[in-house]
Amino acid sequence: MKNKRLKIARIEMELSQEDLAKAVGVTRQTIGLIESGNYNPTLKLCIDICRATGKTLNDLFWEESEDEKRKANSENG
Amino acid sequence: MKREKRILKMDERQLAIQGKANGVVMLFLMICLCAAAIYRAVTEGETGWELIALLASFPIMMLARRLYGDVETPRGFKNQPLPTGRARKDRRTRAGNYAIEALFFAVPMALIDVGLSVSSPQEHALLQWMKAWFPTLNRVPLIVVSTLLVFAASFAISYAVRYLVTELILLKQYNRLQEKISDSAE
Repeated sequence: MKNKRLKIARIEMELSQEDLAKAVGVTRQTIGLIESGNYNPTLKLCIDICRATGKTLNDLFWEESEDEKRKANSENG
Repeated sequence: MKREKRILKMDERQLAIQGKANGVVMLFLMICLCAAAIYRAVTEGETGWELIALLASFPIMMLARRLYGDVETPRGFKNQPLPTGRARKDRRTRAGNYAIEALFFAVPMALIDVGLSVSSPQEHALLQWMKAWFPTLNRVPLIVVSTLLVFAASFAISYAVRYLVTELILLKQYNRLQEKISDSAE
């Protein structure tokens, strides 16, 4: 499954895939594969990415259940 | 952010892929070594460095995994985790597994010996040695005795090595690690 939240967080920080890759010590391909949902990073890499983008693990990598999504939508109106 | 020094300049994804690729290369090389060992055995009646390299690859792989920090539960012949306790039942279960693994090693070795004895135009070293000790025996009984000897020796060596490595090294490492983890968890 694609990780759109990571892509959005990266763009918000005005980072290219190359920039984020350099910041966390991986290749641009690895960042691209994570965003496209074709690679599952280790927890350490997830933490490094969160630090680089200023987000938490929940923000970028936690999959919301359907109940949580409905709850969030109803709270937002 | 502190970045780890990487000798091979590969990230975690590339390392994982390289590991799988290395496995494929290793399998290919082992097949080539097997073929070379069989060819030399059939044409020259003896095996050389090919067989030694093939057999040495397994302990080298175990050592390399250990050096990289792999301390897994000792596993049986079906790759099932073996009991790690000192109770009689646990030791008997482990001994049974060692015996089965020793059989898996000894039977192919005996078959290779039979194959070499029958197919090779030259007699291999063991057969020549036995001929010197039992000059009155014909070829067929010599081959049978030689095969039984190879089977018994292979079984004994495999059992002994597995027993020593697992009981004296692997189990101790695993139990020590478990104690360490439990203590630090508290």
